[in-house]
Amino acid sequence: MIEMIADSVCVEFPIYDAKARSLKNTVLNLGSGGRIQANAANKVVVTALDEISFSIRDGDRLGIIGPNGAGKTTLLRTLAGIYEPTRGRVMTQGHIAPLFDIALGMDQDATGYENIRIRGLFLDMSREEIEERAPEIAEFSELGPYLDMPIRTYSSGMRVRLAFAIATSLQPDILLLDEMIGAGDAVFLARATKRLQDFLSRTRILVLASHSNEIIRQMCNKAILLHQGKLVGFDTVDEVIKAYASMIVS
Amino acid sequence: MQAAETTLSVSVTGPSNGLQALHGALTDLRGGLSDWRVWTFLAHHDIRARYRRSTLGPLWLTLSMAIQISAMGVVWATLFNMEIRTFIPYLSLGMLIWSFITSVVGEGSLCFVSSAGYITQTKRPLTTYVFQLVFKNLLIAGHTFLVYLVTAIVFQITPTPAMLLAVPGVVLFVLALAWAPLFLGPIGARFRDIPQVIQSILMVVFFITPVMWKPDMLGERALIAILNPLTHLVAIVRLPLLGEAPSTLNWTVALLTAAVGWTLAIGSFVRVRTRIPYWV
Repeated sequence: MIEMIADSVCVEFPIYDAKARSLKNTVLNLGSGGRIQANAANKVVVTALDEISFSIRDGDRLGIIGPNGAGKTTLLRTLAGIYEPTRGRVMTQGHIAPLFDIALGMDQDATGYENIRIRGLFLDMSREEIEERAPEIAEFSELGPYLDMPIRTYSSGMRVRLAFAIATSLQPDILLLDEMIGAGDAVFLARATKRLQDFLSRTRILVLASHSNEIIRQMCNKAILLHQGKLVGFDTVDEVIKAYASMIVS
Repeated sequence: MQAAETTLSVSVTGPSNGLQALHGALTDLRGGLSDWRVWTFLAHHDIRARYRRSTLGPLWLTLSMAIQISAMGVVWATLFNMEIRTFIPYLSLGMLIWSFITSVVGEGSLCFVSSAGYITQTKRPLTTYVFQLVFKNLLIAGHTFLVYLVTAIVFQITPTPAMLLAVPGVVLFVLALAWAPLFLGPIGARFRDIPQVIQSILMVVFFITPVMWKPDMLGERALIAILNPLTHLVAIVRLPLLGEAPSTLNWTVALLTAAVGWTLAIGSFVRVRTRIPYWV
């Protein structure tokens, strides 16, 4: 059974610059950043996540919303296992695919086809899976003969198409997204929506951080609201978006 | 119950006690070794990126080493009063071995910092980046080895059975150094001036290591060379390739360096492994 459980997860970043002592005094209680305090050893520590607990399972699409600095990216990285919590734990059943940088590892001098293999490598695809999916990736990207050319000859739109085609060929158990793929390229997204929806429907669990309430509404069935590292809401998407709105107003 | 599932990975991350920490470190090491497809790619990529679209590509490594050897070879042979015939092969091996050492140790302290992008965006074993650095330097050494081969042919070094010892020699040499990035990497991530300190130390160590000169040239002061573990690491690679057998002392010190080094590296890795992504 695919599931993900966060249990009192705390993530604390120590700040090692000596001058941070006075930084603490001026910056404490600043807007929406993680709360800052001195711990027992007189080190300044930023509490990026404070006692985060929730659980999601097969079929859940969880949105993470909150102001800048609330801890969305930190939470995603912690769920991915990149940061081990300083306290508490994350328990996961299922393979986690963090897709934070859709083009991570791409080699400008390698051809489109070679980059398909490279990205597949970083996405933990086996050799067989990559070879199997390469044709349909190539077809969807509509790059044709360009796939035999180094990607430094591509326009940025072409690179996005390739990266997107590769990413959406995955069959992840648990997919973690930090902001929507291809954010800002509205025309491309419209064309790619069907593929995206197919991709997301193949995903057993989706966790998505976004600033766009629209995207959260479209993609998610549950949401959590983060504020200064604390989980202040875990509910249906509509309820949490309402809570966020009232938080902004107050 | 779960007939449809092939393999289900269960991961629990969170603060660990001593035994869990050890298990975590060993799992990371095992994972790093099996991640060879990624680190061989990254190592190739590093080298290609450096020589992108240049005329000779990575052969520049070979060429620049050849130029260095030619220039230094003639001058230093005269200064040391040695025959060019024996000195140039000796020097070319010394330089290629020293490059390996200096890169694995010097860049070793930066191996996590320079991969910060990968470390914070994907979940991979951290030892992947250690193996990447070691493999990259093996590739570079492969390119510069050509220079030695040419000198060996030109100066007619006769093959002897002792040359077979080069195989275990190289293996032990790599083992005796591969722990350095694992040990120094976290330190370099936590204290950002350490890489500079290490570079400075390496510059000094160069002068007390018989790279360009022979240990017996020190006469009464030979102890300086003998106490330096790098002397022995260099010897187990260089001597066989020149047709001689390394001494028992050479092998012993190399083995000890490997044993102590890895114990140190794994011991510290157990403690700091989970902090590294926070530090980079």
